[in-house]
Amino acid sequence: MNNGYIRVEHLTKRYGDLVVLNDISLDVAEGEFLALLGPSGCGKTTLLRAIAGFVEFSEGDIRIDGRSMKRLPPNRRPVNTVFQNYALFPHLTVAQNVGFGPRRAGKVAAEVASIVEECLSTVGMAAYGERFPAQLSGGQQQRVALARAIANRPKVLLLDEPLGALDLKLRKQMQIELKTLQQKLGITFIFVTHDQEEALVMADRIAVMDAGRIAQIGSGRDIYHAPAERYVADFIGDANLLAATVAADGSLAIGSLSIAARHGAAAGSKATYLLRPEAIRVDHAQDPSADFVSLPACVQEIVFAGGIIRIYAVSSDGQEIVAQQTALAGEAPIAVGDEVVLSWHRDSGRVLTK
Amino acid sequence: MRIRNGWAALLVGVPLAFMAAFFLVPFFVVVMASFQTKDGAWSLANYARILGDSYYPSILYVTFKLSLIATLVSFVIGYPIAYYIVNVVRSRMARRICYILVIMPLFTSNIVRSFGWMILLGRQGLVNTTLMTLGLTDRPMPILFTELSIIIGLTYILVPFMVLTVAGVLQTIDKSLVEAALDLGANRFVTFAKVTFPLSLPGVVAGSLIVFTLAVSAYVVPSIMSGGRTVVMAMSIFEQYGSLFDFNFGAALAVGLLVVTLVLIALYLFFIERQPAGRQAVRS
Ligand SMILES: Nc1ncnc2c1ncn2[C@@H]1O[C@H](COP(=O)(O)OP(=O)(O)OP(=O)(O)O)[C@@H](O)[C@H]1O
Ligand SMILES: [Mg+2]
Repeated sequence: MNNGYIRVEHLTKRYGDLVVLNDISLDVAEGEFLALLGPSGCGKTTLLRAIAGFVEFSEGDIRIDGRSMKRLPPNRRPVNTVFQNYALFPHLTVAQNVGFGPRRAGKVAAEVASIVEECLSTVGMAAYGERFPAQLSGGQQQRVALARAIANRPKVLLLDEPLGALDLKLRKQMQIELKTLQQKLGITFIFVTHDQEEALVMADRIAVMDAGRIAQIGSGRDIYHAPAERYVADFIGDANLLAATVAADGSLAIGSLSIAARHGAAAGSKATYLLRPEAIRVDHAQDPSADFVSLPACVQEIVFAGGIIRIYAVSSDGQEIVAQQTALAGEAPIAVGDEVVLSWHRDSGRVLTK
Repeated sequence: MRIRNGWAALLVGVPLAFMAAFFLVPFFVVVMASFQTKDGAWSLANYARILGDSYYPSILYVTFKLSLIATLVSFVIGYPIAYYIVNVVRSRMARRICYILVIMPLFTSNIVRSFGWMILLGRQGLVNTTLMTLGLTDRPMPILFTELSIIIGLTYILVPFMVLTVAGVLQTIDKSLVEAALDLGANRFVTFAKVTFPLSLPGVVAGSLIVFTLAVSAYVVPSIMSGGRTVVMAMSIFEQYGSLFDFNFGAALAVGLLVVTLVLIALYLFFIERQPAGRQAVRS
């Protein structure tokens, strides 16, 4: 994808000596749902604000539909923002909040009224037009903020942790609603979150950020199953990250194990072997299949987490490994202290050299 | 930390007792005196005398006219200063220096300050000599001892009150609201008119009330800057108490001034309350 609708080119932002965005390049296609994911302080908000026009950047450029945004003030950019704290105007009613954008665009009163009605019913808030923001719950305010941001029919919608203030149940519901809405309207979404599950559920692609740079960008599946580096593997999902050394014959030495695996690392170099917990089977007996790697271990702890159980085990050569299984009632139970065999398909492990 | 009831009673009681002793009691004494003749008989004669001819009503009119103009000018000068300090000055240190500069006029005594203005505004004063040197006028303009000089003198000391009150409210306005307005396509001017200014109205209302009441009750500035040619209510009241020793009529003048001021303030708040944006301003 080298013809992005939004192109961020070598963007760098410094506050004094602090480099907050470090040479960021990013393409987003028209109508795409991109999530910016990363830990607190990694620069997600700053990147979003740079696109919206509230942060002047030191180097690089941002183009939307081929047009440089560098000298364009926020009010003339084809983007709208859903702010983290919603930023609803407290002195205006819900309807006036939503109508604020269309009014500025010079629409006549009747037109504004019909846009307001349409946007409010899109988010299921049609009955609340005459209320003031202070008279709404958090979830309702969130919907109004969304309605206000889509009222101008922006090409791009920027959302900064819009679901951060909601409780888990409402949050999950809004995730689905937001995704549906995005598909219906065909607006390009750039969505900031530090919740990996939220990113996986909603986004077409995820950009994982780490201290001002983009560590990896790709689909949720790519990032989960084929992380480019240890940082990404650790950040997304649960992971067993085992220290490995590349042997002379190219196989990996992990403790007492020797695994033949594909990788580009030179002999003698260090690597990380990624094993997702759900890829590991826990049995009492050895699996005879040749495609499986097996490792004897002792069960230390079992955690029941509803639909799944997590089994914490220590292998005979001292590696701590967590496995995850679906908790089907009636399955041969595994108990703490059992000697078991952990096994996984040799293709399900991944070698990370960064 | 919870305050025990005994302490709470003390903390509330002391200021209340202070208010009662030094404000409420004298206030009732004044009100009662205004309804009495010199001999102590109850009567409305004092009020009849105020309304008897046009002299006192016209003084009342001048007092409120000058106070209103001083309030408006204080707003026009003070609001931009407050806006500048809060939204334009970046560093915290510079902001502090700005606040000190703003309240600087209040550091000097009222009387010294007013004599300073006399030197500036007089016939041979700096203002007139400058105007004449620039050729803008060929004769000295009469500024001193006019209503204009009273307004200048009042505004000079009242602007700080407006600035501090407005800045206090401007500071509490969430910056992301301004960003939201810009984001939705409003330019800087519209953002100010539709978001910042309406949200700062509580400060404007409070500031103008403070400034107006201070202007109405001002005595030193009008009496020096008018040179005795214009009389405001505070001067009349002082005259009754201080030179003519007619405490009963002085009291009636004071009560009259208070009542009219309260009525005007009530009308003002009522008017603001009827504006959609103002409703929030009055409530908060
Ligand atoms: N105005 C500023 N001046 C100086 N440093 C700033 C400024 N704004 C942000 N930063 C710094 O930039 C870094 C990135 O901030 P940013 O708000 O983009 O993080 P974030 O990824 O959005 O974090 P969070 O998940 O906590 O919202 C932080 O280290 C922050 O301290
Ligand atoms: Mg943030």
